Parts: sequence; C-alpha cells; structure tokens
Amino acid sequence: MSDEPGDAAPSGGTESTESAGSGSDDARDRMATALAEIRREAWKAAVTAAVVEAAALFLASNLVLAALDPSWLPDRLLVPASATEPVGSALGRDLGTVAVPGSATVAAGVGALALAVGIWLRVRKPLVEQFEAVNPGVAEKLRTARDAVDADADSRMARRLYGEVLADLRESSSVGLLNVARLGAVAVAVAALSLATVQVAVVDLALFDRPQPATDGAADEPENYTGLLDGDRILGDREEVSTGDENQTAEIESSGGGRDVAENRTFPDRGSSGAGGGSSGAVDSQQAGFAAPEQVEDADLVREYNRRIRDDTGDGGGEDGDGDRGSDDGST
Amino acid sequence: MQDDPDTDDVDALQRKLATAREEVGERIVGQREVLERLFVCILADGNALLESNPGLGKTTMVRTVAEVTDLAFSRVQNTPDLMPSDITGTEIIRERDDGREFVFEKGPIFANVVLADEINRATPKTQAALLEAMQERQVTAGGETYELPDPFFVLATQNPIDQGGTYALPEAQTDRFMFKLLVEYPEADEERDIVDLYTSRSRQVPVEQVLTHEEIREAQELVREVPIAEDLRDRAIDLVRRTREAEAVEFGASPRASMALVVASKARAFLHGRNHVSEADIEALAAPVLRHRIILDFRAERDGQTPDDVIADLLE
Repeated sequence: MSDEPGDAAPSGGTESTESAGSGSDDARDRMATALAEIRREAWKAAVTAAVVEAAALFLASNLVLAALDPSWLPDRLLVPASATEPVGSALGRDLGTVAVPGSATVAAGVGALALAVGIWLRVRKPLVEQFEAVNPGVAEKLRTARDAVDADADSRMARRLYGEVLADLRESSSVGLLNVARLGAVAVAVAALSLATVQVAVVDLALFDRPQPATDGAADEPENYTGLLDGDRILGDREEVSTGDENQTAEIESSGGGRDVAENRTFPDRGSSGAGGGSSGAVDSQQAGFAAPEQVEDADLVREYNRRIRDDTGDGGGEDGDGDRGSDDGST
Repeated sequence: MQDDPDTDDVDALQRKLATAREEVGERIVGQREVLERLFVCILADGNALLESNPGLGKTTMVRTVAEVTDLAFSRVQNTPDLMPSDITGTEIIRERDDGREFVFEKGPIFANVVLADEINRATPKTQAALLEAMQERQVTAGGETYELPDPFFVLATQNPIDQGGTYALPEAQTDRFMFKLLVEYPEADEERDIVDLYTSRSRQVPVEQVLTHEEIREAQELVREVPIAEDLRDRAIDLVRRTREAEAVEFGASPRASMALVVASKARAFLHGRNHVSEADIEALAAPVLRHRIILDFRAERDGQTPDDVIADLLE
C-alpha cells in the first residue's frame, strides 16, 4: 500500500505545470488520477482487513466444528463430479471421487461470507471520504477538489486548488485507512487459531464424544481409534537388560507315552481326527453350537464333524482303541 | 502549482489584499472583524448595511478603504428632505455658446464607494431610489440610462437608537444588502490606542494605495471561481432554508441570501489566501448575511432572543 496517493499523479506539479497551454487539462487529469489512486488504496485497505478477519473466522469456525464434532456434520463431503471433472481434464488425469472434510467446507463457507460482508461494510462509504476522514489536514480541500473534478471545473482557482491538493497528498498517507491495532490483534488471533487447529488435527480435542453406533461386538469390527497413546505408559519404565551368566538345563518330560518323541508316529489325518482316537473311555458327542445368524456357513461343517464322531464311536474307536492318538490328560 | 503564470497573479493579488487590510489597520484601531467583512463585501461585489452608534469611525473606515483601493469615494448624508435626484443626479440647463442644453449632472451615487450615512433618515422614496440604483447598477434620468462605475459598493449606516423621525428600511430593501454589520464599541485598550493615535498628531495617519480598480475587478472575478464543495454549498442553502421553518422566525431569508452566503464565503476564502471554501467561512458569515433578512417571531422577541441567537442555534 502506497503511503502517498498523490504519487499517483503522472508527474510532479512543478514539471507538468511548466508547460503552459496544456496545464489546465493536466491539473484536472492529475487530480482525477490521484482520486482514482486514492480509491484503489482504499480498496486495498478494505480487502486486506477483510481477508485477515475472514481468515480468523475461517480458522475459528473450523476449530469449533472440529472440537464440537456435531452429529449433523458429515466427516467428508463429496465434491460433485461436475466440479472435479473440469479440473481433472485440465490436469490431464482422472481425479476420481473427491471428498473434502465437512468441517473445513463449512468453515470455508463462513470465511467466504465474512470476506464478502467485510469488504461490503468497508466500501459502502465512499472511498475518498474514508481517506479524507483519516487525513483531516487535506480533507476539506480534497473534498472540494473532488467535487470540482466531477464538475469538470477548470478555472484558475480550481487549478490552484488541484495543485495544492496534489502537493498535500504527497505528505498524506493511506496507512490510516487500516486500523493497525485491530489488524494486529486479528493477526495474532489468526496465528493462535492456526496453532490450535494443528493441535486439534494431531491430538483431537473432541469436547464431546460422538454417539457410537450400536454394535454386537463382532470380532472383525475395527477398534475405534482413540488417538495416540503414551509409549512409556504401555511399555513400562525403561531398564537395562544384561546378558545372563548362568547356564541352566531345561528338561521336558513326557508322560503317558512309552516311546521317544523322535520315534515314528502317525497322526490321524485331519479328516479322521476327533475323540474317537483318544483314550479308551468313551467320549460322548455333543452338539456343537454356533451363532446361527453370524456363522450359518459353518453349520454343515459342524454337522459333518458330529457325524464322523458318531461313526468313530460306533466302530470301536478306530484302529487303536487305547488311545494312541493322545493321552487322556492331554500330555504329549 | 504556484509557478503557473496565472496562479502567480492570484498570489500577488492575495498578497496585495492582505497588505491593503494592514494599511487600513494602520488608521482604524480594532474592528478587525468589521474590516475583514468590508473587504469580503467588496470582493463579493455586494453592499453592506452598517449599524452602530455614532462616533465609532464608520466614515473613516470606509474612506480609508477607498483610499487604499484607489476607489472613488462619496458620502451622502441622508435627511428627511433629501430628494432622489440629490443622490442619483439630475438634468440641469447649461448655457453654451450655441444655446442652452440639458446636461445630466451625476449625483454622489456615481462613485465606486458610496457611504450613505443614516439611510433610515431619508424618506422611503429616496431610499428606494438609492437602493434601486444599488441593485440595478444604473441610473435612468431624462430617458437616458447611465451606468454606475465598476466596482460599485454602497455602505449604508443606520443608528440603532434615536428612532424618532426615521423611516425603517422595508425588508425587501434590506434584502438587497449582502451584509448587515454590527460595529461594537472598542475594547478598553483599543479605545486607549484610538485616543493616542488621534490626539497626538495634527494630521491623519497616512495610508498607501495598494490596489487598483482593475485589480479589484480581477479579484471579484477570481472570487466567483473559487471552488466550493457540494456539501458545503448544500449546508449554506440548508441553513437559509431552515430560517423559513424555524419556530423563532416569522419570516425567513430568501434565495438571495443563499447566493449571498455562498459568494461571500468564497470571497472570505480568497481573502484568507485559500483556494477553496471552508466550513468556517460559512459559519463566520452566516450571521452578517442572515441577521437582517429574518424577522423574529414575537415570542422569540419577548424571550429576548436576537437574530444572531437564532442563527447561532440554526448553525448548531
């Protein structure tokens, strides 16, 4: 932002007015140019302030939505294909289905609205009048010069006024159009909100739990992510591990068998496994249960197992009735 | 911008006006405000009605202004037996070698600066003749029309006391005066200076001529060119219009007052060396422009309000 709107004049007052004859038009044109520059500066100031405030509002909205996590807000919003296709074609690749976070989308909408409202509020008052308000020293003559330019005044006194105003504008500033204190405060707020947004994105400061959908505790349901956990808390205190200096012999004995483990052993195939090859005691078959709704596909398998167990029991327990397939106490 | 040949002339003219005011100030102690408004009135090409008690230096002031500006000065002492022709002039028979002929003998109104002393002592017929000439800037006699000199400035005085045997100016005629100026008694120190100045010298304090006719006319043209912001112009108009609606005012000011306020504001700005009219110009000149153009309601008069009080209220 230029400090001196008067600099918008194509040339300084001294040089341009030395050329007699064209001086009358020059003065008015330079004044008109300076007024246009003032309006541009006021626009810049309005947009700058509105953008900063809109950014703050965007971040604040995003933060609040992320923290509250309202149930009505979907996690992600699908971008219509009509919007993504042109972009994809421009990039030369298929973007597929594009989804954006719901909270960020709503916050962006709030920010855009705040930007539009902020600019409108600042430019609804005539821009040159705003400049006059922050430069009271030049206000009255600038206001008069503005009206004189609008009226296409080109008298000697009007030309003197234009020259005087242009000279004064070089000493004036458009910085006053910005409320620096307010802008600074909002900038600080933007920085703080940015940090808070990062914090929420990493740690998830959800203030209220989202209502969980009812589940039947199926094993294959993924656990809900509860955020990163403290590694030290899980692993315990760190301690040094030293190499042991004692050799101990571990001996494992088997019971119930009369042969070494290394001996050739035969195991029933998977199809004939069951209680029938076990101890000499009879094993009563039991009806295996299953959760019909979830594992209907296992019903036939269970039924087949039951059938085989009954068959084995019926024909004497197989080739080795004393239970070579395993001991009764389960030792091997 | 100040190096533009045109505007260099303007600077020189404004400097001369400032010098002229200083010259008049050499002879007139105090009365700065009245003096400034006299110059404003001249620059705005208007006429002024001065109201003051006797002995406050009105004649000296006007005569001094005429001296420093190289303007022809004449004085008319109004009395009840003064005839219109005594002011405007009359045709007289003059003897010549080839016979007699009617010749128009110009009256005292044919001057650049005319001091019409105690105008309210002249009969309405004479007042009307004077004011008509003042307005029309011409005099018609014997079927001939005679232009009054340019610049032309009438300063009429009237006495606020001793109203016996006077003919108050009708509102329609007071409206033709751009300003009504009130000359107040000087402060104690100013009166001391006046006494010292005029009792220690045998001759009047000399003053130099600073401005010429042409320069006065040029200044009057430049005054009309001084730009005024639209909102200030509207404020002047609004102020005048509100005099017609104010409760304390029975009759308000005419559009002539609006024109007078704007052009006088321009003249004051020019006199102060500015290239634009400021709000202070309008506020400073509202009372002199409006005080003789409004008639207060009897309730306001009963409450002791003056036109200046009402105008001050309207300005707020």
